[in-house]
Amino acid sequence: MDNLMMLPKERKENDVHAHEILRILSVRLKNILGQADIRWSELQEIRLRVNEPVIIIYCNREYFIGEDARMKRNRQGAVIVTSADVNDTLEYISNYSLYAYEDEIRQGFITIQGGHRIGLAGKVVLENENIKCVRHISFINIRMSHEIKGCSRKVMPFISLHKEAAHTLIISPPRCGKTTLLRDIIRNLSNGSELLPGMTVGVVDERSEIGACYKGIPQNDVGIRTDILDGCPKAYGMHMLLRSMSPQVIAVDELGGSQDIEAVYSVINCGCKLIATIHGNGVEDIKNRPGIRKLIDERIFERYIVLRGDKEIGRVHAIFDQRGSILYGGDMLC
Amino acid sequence: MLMKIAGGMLVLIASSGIGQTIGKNQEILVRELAELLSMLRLIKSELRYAINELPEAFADMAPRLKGSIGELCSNMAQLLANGYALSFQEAWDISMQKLREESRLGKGHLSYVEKLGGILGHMDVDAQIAQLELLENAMIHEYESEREKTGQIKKLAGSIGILGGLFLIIIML
Repeated sequence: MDNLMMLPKERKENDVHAHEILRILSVRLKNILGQADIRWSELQEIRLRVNEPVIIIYCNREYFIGEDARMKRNRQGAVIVTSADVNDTLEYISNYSLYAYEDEIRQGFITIQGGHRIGLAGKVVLENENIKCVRHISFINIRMSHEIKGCSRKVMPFISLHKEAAHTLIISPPRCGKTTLLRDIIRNLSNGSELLPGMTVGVVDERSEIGACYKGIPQNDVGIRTDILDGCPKAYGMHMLLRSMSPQVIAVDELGGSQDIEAVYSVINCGCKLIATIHGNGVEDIKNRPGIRKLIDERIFERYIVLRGDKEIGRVHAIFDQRGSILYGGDMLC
Repeated sequence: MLMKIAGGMLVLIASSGIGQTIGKNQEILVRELAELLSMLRLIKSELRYAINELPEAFADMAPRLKGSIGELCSNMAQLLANGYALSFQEAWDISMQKLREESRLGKGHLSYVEKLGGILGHMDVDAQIAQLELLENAMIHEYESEREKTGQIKKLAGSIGILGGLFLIIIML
């Protein structure tokens, strides 16, 4: 009934999401969830655990799915996931070819068509203290990809300096929308806007979260001048992009290790602009990390965008310049 | 008398035709075993080097393999591309059923092909390749022994066909 109230564009998006998700579920779950009254574009997660009920996260709330395909808040009469459901779902996720996703499974997730991310857990097999593979996969978390186009519109004026992009660091705790914001900034820089001409953007997408590439093709809109190194460690990727793709801007998600910091200097010294994200609660918080502290003290980054998710996901708490002067303070919803 | 001679000739042609067919069937069996071996080798290289997904691998292999084995690959490619309505094992069982109907392979040979359905698609490439090699070795043995038999069977079936025909003619006369 809810679906009848959707605009044609929303309905189309909903149908695309429904198709992308339902096709990878086992036939039994497909039949049940296919009948559920769900706005697929609003769905956040589907969790499958062997011998446990199907749980979905929908509009930030947890629901069970009943045998009658109704969403409910209690687990009585909920659909129980069987190992056949998980095995069939795994076959469909991997297009009958789990071996082709060995590297991704070692990292714990597979990206499917549409950019949705499938987290997997099971028995980890080690070889020489490295993860060889994951066997007996019994836990699947299907996380829907949600692009929010235009969410960087309000921050773009702050990161435009003299018709160039500013070296920018987005600081945010997990699940506050930093990757979504970074993706939209990349799209804006790549496509160009009134503020900035279109630029060649190189993205090192180590965890396939920015472009959500499926078979090398970005499933998210990252702009017309964007090149993506998918699944590549950031430090290597930044060097590779500099050598091979001559980007004007390099974008990376979740800076951290010392090698990443070294690569940042290479990017800066090559005249490239850098847009990066980092986990943290604010500039003072990330100063505790030695490598990052050096970058801040040397005023490498010209803009710091601090996100907070306490009130609502995607709220810009503050924007600072390289001297720490506040350019924007308040709660701007991206 | 003329009728008897004509009838005798027909009997002789029919019986030698039966002998020829038996010999041809053996030839087809050997060809199918060779195609099966080629399929195993192609799958191995798909897993080891190309790392293609199975639907794509079967679609690639189908035009490269002849007869019922090519059909098997083509069926698998179609079933696996059919919107995830079947598990791999179900798709394999359906394709196997067709293979049973169309090919000259015996129960023993078909059991190797059946095993293949349980091997493919799993995570560990090395384990899959090891199992494929095991199957390949067994198949090579089967292929060699059937190939060696082919000449003998063709001769024997041809001779028995003609002699059987002659025997019938003698009885009829």
